[in-house]
Amino acid sequence: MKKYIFMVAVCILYAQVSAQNNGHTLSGEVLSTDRTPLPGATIFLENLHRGMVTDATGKFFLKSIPKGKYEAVVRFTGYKTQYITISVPSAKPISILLQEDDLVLNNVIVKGQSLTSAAIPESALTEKEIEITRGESLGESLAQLTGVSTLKTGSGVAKPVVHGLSGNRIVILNNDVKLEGQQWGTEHAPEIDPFIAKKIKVVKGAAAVKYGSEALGGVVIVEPPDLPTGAGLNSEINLIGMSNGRSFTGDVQLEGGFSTINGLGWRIQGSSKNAGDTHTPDYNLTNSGVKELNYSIGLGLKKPAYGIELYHSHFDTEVGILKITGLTGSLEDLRKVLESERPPIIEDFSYDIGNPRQQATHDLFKINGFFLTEFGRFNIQYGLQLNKRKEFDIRIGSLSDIPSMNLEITTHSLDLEWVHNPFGLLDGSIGLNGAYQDNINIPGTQRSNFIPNFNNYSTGIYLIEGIEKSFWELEAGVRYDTKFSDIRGWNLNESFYYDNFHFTNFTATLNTIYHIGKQDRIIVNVGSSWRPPNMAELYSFGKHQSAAGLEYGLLWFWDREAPPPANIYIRKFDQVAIENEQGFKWLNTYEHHGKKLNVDFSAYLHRINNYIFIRPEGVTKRPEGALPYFWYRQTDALFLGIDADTRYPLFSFLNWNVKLNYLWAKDVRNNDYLPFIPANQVETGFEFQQNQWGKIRDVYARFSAAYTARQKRAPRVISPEVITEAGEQDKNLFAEDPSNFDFLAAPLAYTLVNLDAGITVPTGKSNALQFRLGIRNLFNVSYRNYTNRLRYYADDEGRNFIVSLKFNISTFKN
Amino acid sequence: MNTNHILSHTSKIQFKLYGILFLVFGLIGFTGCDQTDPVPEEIPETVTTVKLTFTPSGGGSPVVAQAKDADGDGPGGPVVDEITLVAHTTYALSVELYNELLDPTDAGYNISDEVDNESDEHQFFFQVAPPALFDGSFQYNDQDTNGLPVGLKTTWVTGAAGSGTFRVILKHQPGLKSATSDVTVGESDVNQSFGITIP
Repeated sequence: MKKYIFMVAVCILYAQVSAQNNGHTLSGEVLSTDRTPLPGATIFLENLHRGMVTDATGKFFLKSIPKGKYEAVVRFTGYKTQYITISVPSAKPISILLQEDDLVLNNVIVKGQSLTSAAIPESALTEKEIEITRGESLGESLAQLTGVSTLKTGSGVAKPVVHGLSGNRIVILNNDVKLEGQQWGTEHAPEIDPFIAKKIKVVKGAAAVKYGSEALGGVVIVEPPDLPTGAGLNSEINLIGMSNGRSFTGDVQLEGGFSTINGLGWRIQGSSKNAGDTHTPDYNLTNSGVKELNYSIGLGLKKPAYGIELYHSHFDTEVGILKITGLTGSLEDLRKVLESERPPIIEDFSYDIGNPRQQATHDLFKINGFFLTEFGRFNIQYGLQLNKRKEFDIRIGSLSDIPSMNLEITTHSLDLEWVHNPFGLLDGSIGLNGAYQDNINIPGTQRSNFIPNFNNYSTGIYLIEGIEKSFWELEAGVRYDTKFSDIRGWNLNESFYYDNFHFTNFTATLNTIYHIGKQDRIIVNVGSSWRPPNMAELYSFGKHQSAAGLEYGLLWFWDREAPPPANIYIRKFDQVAIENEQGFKWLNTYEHHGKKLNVDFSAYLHRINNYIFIRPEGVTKRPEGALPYFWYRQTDALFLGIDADTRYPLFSFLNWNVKLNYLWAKDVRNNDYLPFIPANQVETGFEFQQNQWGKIRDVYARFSAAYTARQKRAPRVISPEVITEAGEQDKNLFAEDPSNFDFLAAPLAYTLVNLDAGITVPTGKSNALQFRLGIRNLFNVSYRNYTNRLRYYADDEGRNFIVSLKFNISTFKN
Repeated sequence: MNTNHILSHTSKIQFKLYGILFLVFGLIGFTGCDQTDPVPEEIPETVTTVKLTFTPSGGGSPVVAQAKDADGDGPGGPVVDEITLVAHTTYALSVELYNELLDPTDAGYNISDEVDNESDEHQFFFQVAPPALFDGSFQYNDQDTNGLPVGLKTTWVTGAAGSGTFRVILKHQPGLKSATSDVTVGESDVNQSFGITIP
């Protein structure tokens, strides 16, 4: 019987067509403001509890409606929801226009694919914010959003941090495909060319139901613009120069469509970057250059009822890591380097990148498609990613030319999704994700493998259902995941180890939106999440650039009593009490989008049990010198935070903006501070904006000042000297005080001032030239950032002048 | 209403879906069979052992002291011997470097050979505290192809009784080694301190 009722719900539309014959017929169409039909849009008559989905030509047709006035909700993903009143009978078919929704839209689901997940708050970079950071990395662009900061390694590497979490706790969607590389490394920047992006967004709430276990901390979404569907040609050229690092960045994009085949579009894009050594206000950061050469190609056919797209992107980078020689010297040298104002090697400016350096390439091949049926929309996507990473260290003799780490990871992923038509009140989707991963060490590094060879097999299935009423929305999601891993590696004493393990878990979220009038709403997002430890957290062994030291994973055990080298060995997974990370996040957001004042305010609580983190544990003396070492450990963590972003127009041409990032984190198991938690920040800015000034368009000037506080909630400091003494006397550093420590105190607070200005000059009917100027760190302040891993050794970057030029020619009719 | 029609349609779609699923996972499974086992790496660059042999010029048994860090990249520290020499005696010092994580027959086992092969890029430096432990300065007894000192072989003359530290530093100075390049130039390949006693 239940099944029967379910089927009735499935075919509600049929029932409506065939059931009764009394009443009137309602018909019409749903269009976008540019009069494009919108197939798959929903029209829901609230008081009748009846709904309808537009057909392939955007038309709808609803029979047997009693005479009366009806409140109707018209929705289509990517467009603003319309609330209209419809009178029945209606003399003629009605046309409903939906307005495209770029920034206010809360739909986290990839481009027009779902009607659900409206309830997880996200922040998007505005087009201008993307433009202003052209030439910088993705991580640096994202840091403009409240609640987002960066984990840096010098100037070349920046990873996004969302609400204090980064790396494998953040999913990065690159054109709808989950980026799979060696994300565990703090100095492994996301292998994404920010020039492909038209939209850059961050989902901060619990989004693990949709995106899988690694979305525990958040989701970064990088989306290229949709491929053209009409006839025409569009080209864009970007040229950016920066004084600090003397960098040149260029990007060319070309896209077009055909008049012969409607819906067929293509795009080709390429970018290159060449940056030399950057400098602090006082000295050069030797070997901090970056080189990049990237391209992407896309081809797609989009028809109202189906679509297919092919995409390939290639990312190729070489990044220098600051030269710090003292690290291979004695303990005194290490102490000197840590205490010194400056790094030990300062050379003249150069574009050359020497060791230590890293080379990474990332290739993505994607095919995806959708088709509309009377049951809703089906999305299919297959992605193949090939990620290669080589790291070169300063080594004896000719070994410097051999990578000390050489990894290749291949990932196949398949995502299936059914976005069903409304079942009565319910709107939702069911999805299936599958992925297979193969990680190999390319032999010949002549160094112990830092992580082993492994294969991962993972599948997940989810169901998200939502209800939307006029003033509130409710959405619930569940997900079931299973993951199998197979690991093969070598112990230090040349013995082979093999292990495999299996994880399964449930995840759930509940999101509600409550609208107060038309300008205010409250969003409450509650979700659980889990994350199994990744291979680096379990198996890391040896020297790694990011730590400028040695790193050991959770499974390594050091038996201080046993004779070396058998004193350090890997344990089987099931012999060690290692638990999955279990997260619970509660995020409350209040939004006011008034005619003048705009406020986004979020407060969150994030509890993560069995939180995995890396902490300094000591210094090991070796004939080559002394090195600090770090060990992965588990604890229970609590994150409490506030993000606020307000904007108020002082005059019609002048906006005032205040942003706040506040984060309070604690190791609750040990009643201690956690290392590497971003410091609190407050930023204020004024923006002058004039849309038209004679012939010149989009004139703007922006001034902002950001104050970054000292991280006062940082672990205690133990100097390398004290640590070595303890080592010599065979004393366990944690015997008396088990709390976390750091080698240096957290850096002092600092304020950075930035200036930006820009104009657009029309140079013809369909082309325009855009000039921008920027100054970062206007007052050339010397500072160190707590979440820059090179803060132990050097200051951050000094003043930077940016000049950029964008030229656009289009033959598309707008 | 016609539920049969709907059912058959649903199952058709399900069938199609399973078909696609089967195909793609089949493909993944196919490529997935390829599991590569890692190859154990030779780790030549790790200096686990610094061995000093002081041979008295007037004959007698040599004094051997070594520093050994048997766990390589592991967290454990080295075991370091104390150097005990006789006062007012001339010694020939030979420095040997080994990677004892390898077998003695392996190519990378004897690192001092490698230093010898690349002697134009390497130089040993020695720091003694207090300096009075030795009379005057030591002599380099070997030269690279450019006639510059290397330091695998040196000669020392002990002073009066005392105790202190004897530090051995091997600098890698590719393209930097010259008559004036000192201990501050280049990267340290070895930086090991020994305790020294002259009774």
